[in-house]
Amino acid sequence: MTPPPDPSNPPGLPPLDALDRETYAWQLRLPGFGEQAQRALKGASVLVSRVGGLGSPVAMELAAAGVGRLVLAHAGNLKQSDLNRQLLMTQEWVGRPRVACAARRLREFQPRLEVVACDENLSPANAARLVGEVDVVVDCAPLFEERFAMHDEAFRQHKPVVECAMYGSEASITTVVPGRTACLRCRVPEVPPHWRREFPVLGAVSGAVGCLAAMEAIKLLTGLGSGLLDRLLSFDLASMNWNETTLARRQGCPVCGTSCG
Amino acid sequence: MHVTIEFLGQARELAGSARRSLEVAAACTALEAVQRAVDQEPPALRELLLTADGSLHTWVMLSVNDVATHDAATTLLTDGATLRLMPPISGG
Repeated sequence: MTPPPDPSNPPGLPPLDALDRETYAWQLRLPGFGEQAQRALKGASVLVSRVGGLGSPVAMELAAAGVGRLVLAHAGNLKQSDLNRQLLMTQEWVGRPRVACAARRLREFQPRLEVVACDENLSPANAARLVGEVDVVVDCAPLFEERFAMHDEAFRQHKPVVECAMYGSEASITTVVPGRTACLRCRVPEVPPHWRREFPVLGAVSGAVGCLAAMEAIKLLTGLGSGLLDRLLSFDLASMNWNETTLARRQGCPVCGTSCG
Repeated sequence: MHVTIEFLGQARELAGSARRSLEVAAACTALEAVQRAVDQEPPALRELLLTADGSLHTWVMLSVNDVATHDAATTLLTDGATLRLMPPISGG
């Protein structure tokens, strides 16, 4: 006769061993978190699309929290001018692939972490494969074309996306859950012509919103707290003004419009 | 009626500051308030926010009292309303 399932030991989640318990002892005390949440992180896979000023702290915080597998997508070689904000990079790596440096730093920090490093930016050509490998996507892309490819594919695969961005001293973040919330295209239905690849960046701003994005991903994976669903948090770290805007789906949205209620 | 317009991102840069106060007529719509506010600003700000026929660009997020609206032309304002204009950002 099959024994009844043990609710404290759900199937499908990897068990914690002694090293896990020691490494995560301080966060296992967090109310509403606990061993099951830690196991969920250990069994989770997250795509961080670009590991620059924003994606570097996202990946680092997810690795620190105990996420088991990170897929990093970022093309191109490290430039000297990246080093004011891209915290996973190192001086001696200038001229070599950014994503390899990020993967190396993450493995040094957390040797048990599985890192999949893709030296390519997310595009319509690779979106299905990259999004298909993970449970949650964190969108740190600097171009709307890239964000659209990511979000459109995540919607098709019913994968949640933490969407975050910055400009100068300002930043914004929200969490998109297909079928439940407004999607990116509800806010930005087409590529805005005013946006340019080069924008003012202070690393402390991209770092701040990156840490918030990591927390949103952790909440999605563990059920901790409440996420920024249909809530856009925007803030200006120069003035320390913080705002929250309630979002709504757009009738006729090119991505989720057919399921608008 | 008295309303406040807040600019974020590149709109704030072009406006030169984050906030404008505006006196508008009763039954003013959100779009009419934005058009009035932008009329007093540099042309580049108008181009960033509005189309040639005076509609809000679809990619500019407008909120009224912290709630996003996709229909600025029919959203009626009340005295003391705060409108926030957010051109999308994608810095990563």
